[in-house]
Amino acid sequence: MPRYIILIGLILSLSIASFSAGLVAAPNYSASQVEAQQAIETAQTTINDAFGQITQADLAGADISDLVSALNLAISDLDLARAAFSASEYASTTLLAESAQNAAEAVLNEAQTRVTVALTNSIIQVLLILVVILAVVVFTYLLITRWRKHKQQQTRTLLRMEIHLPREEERDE
Amino acid sequence: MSKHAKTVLTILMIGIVLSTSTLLISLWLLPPQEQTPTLSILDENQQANYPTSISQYSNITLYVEVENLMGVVQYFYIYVKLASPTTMASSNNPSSAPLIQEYQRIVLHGGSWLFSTQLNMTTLGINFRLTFELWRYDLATDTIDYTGIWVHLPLNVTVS
Repeated sequence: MPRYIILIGLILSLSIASFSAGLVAAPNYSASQVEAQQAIETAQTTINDAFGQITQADLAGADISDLVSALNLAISDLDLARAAFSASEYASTTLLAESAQNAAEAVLNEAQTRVTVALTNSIIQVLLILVVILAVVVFTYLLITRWRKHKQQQTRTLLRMEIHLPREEERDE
Repeated sequence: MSKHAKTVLTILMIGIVLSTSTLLISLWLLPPQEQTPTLSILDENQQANYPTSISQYSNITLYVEVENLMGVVQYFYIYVKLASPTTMASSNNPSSAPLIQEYQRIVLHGGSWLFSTQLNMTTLGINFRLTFELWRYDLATDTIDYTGIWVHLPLNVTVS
């Protein structure tokens, strides 16, 4: 038998063997399982993003207590989704994860709005403080000016005063 | 009043006004200083009477409380592990024991998170450390980081 036929046969056998091994080793995920896993990951990412916006709103001074409650409900839904995934209930997993994601998205949007409002309020607060500072400086300046004028007036009055010395006859008496 | 005295007085007044306003701005606008959170566990009656020994396959109910004193809202995770004296957690490293339960919650600054957990003890053995570790989601790095805070309950799981 020619040597090249043996070589081709060997290569073909090895290729088929490795392909079969690959098929056996690869995990056999169903489409719904992959979808469920992706839904969980997407929901977790959205929850993390919403938490980031809530933190921004908190730092900006906004009231975030209702947003935190709403996001905790989304986290609970995601916990249920993970439990369903562990029980191989992929359809419920996807539904629960999507519910968590929708809730987290609503929180994310509301938190963004509150960040904007809180920042605007902060700017107004700073402007008000600056106005108060300016008013205090102007008031102090006016007070000092008025006091100086008053002192000048007093000095002028003193200068205009006539000195009446007693006459010599009066002194003798 | 001399011109010199007037200048000094004006500068003094502006200084007082600016320092007061800076203090007010920092009090109103800046967040409070960061502190550490607290983690505690209580028994099923929310007392500190912890079981030291339980039967295999029986349930143990505990209450876990986390208090956020970190100055800003936090995303906390509690990892429950059944550790041994060799795989115990420390303030630098979490326990290397496998995770048996996980809980997560967002907690407002100054707020607390109290929840009950029921754990079924299937592994037989003595000198276990039922460990509760506090982790937090770090926004800057997008990772869940160990806070270095943990509590554990020494436990023997005996034959029922």
